[in-house]
Amino acid sequence: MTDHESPQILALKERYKSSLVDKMQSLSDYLIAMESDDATLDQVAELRGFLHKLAGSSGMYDYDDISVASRKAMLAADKVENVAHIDELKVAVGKVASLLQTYC
Amino acid sequence: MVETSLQQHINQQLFEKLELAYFCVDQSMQIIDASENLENYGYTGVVVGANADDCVDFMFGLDAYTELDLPMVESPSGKKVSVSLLPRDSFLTVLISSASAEADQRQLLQQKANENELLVEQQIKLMKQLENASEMLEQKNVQLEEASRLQTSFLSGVSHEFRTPLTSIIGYTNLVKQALQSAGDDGSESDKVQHIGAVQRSSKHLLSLVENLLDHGKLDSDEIIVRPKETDLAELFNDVELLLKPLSDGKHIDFIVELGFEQPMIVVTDDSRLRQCLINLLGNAIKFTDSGSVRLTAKLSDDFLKVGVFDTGPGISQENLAKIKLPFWQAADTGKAGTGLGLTITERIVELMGGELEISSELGCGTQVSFEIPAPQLDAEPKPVESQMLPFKQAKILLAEDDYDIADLIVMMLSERGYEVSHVDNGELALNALENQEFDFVLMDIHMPIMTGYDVLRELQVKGIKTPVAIMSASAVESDRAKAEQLGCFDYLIKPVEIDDVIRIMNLAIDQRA
Repeated sequence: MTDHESPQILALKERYKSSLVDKMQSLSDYLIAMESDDATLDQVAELRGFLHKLAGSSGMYDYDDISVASRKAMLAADKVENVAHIDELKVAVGKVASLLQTYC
Repeated sequence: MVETSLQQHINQQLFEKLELAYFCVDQSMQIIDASENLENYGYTGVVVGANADDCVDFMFGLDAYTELDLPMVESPSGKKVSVSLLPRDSFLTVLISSASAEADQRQLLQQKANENELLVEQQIKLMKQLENASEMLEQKNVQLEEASRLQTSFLSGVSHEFRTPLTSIIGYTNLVKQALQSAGDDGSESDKVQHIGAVQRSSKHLLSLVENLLDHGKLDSDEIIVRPKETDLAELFNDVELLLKPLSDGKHIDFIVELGFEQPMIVVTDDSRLRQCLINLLGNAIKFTDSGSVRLTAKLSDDFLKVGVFDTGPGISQENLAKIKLPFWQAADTGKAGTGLGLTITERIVELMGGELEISSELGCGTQVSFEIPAPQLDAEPKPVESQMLPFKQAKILLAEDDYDIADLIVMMLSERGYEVSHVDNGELALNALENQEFDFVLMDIHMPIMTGYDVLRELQVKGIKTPVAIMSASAVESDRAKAEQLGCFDYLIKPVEIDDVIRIMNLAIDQRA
């Protein structure tokens, strides 16, 4: 990103910023789903996919902290072998959600 | 009692002067001596031989041995008297004197005490009233502050909501204008280009007003932060000159820039805020000057940047000069549109940067605005290679990315650099596009629906399509990179990708292919 961005780029940035609320909501939904007794590894994989996208897009839009936290959460998701043991993932996702909240 | 005639005379004088009367009683309270003037106080029965208990009411129950003062006794004549009982060896002298002076004195004191009490009461009442008024003012103040906060919050909210669509309008009209200019090289589309230009100018004007409102809101809530960094002052001033020259040209006035330094002049300052101040001041100067010139001067002295903006406009009256920095204030008779915030914002920003904005003007003599801010000078160094503009190679690029946030941004950034970019949002479409069209370079995500990036790479190998493909992924896992390279990708970029990196790799890929 350059210092002097065009109105088009600024418009895209505004659009992305306004989408952070939805992204935070999606993360909350994933967390709630994983709290339930019938949580599955597929859901963890789905969450990982979401974090993967977030890590990429947030970094592109200069939200470096969200990008780094999402990447860490991805690694936590990679370690999950049993849905009964996802505390580390939940903490990592919670961190991402709280960072998202600071920009909403 | 033996007394000389002189003593008798003095006593007589004193008695008269002090209106003293007396009588003496023995231990059985029988009167043994009495002055004649006792009658003045109404003690007519007090004569030698009489019993004091019987003829003097205040003597009832008293003894002849105890010294005693009785102030403010009412005598039979109605006068207030003071009585002193002075026991001596075998008799008691009772002195009676008028207490009217004392009574007057007491009355006066009482009156003063009453007046004082009244004054204290009045003071308490006034204090209470003042306290009430102060409380009311405080409440009003809180209400006004809240109203001001709500107003600022509302303005900021509305401005923010306006900003997004406005930037879109400007961005998309720019694209339409470019398309029209390309299509109508023969001049057939020139009318439309002009109309679009008018839309853009109005939108940009509206955007600048909205941004002023946003900045004002931020200044009100102390949200604006100055971030000093290395800045080439000469480059910044040249940029500002280029930006504003069309405005002065449009009004047929001279725009003179006098810089006391040459490029590069590296200092530490917040370039974007300094730019904002210059644009605001020069914008105002050009707006209000209909003939003559606008002159910008800048020089560095002892790590301070001194800036002056001089115009030959109509000038400002002393009355208006006092109000000119107030937010939203605009002279009624200028007929020039604006928010009335530019100068307020500039003044606050200059303050935040450690300086002070000074304005001097006279009606008919133009206006001079100046400020001085700290700008510590650094040794000029050549810019790092990374920030230099990369060489442009004409290229047609395919972007395969299912995340539209990323895709739109990359398409926009590459388009702005002059590249032709096609976008697809899944692997299957990417493969179809590569089978049917010629591309110079592919930028592809791994995790896409229908076909992944890996699948596409595999199919390209099978089909013998040699278009260079750079994979971009948020995964920094080495095995993912190895897998992509094994499938023949040209390079593997980790998201977030820098557009300069994309172009550098693309140039390399195009060179190698050539």
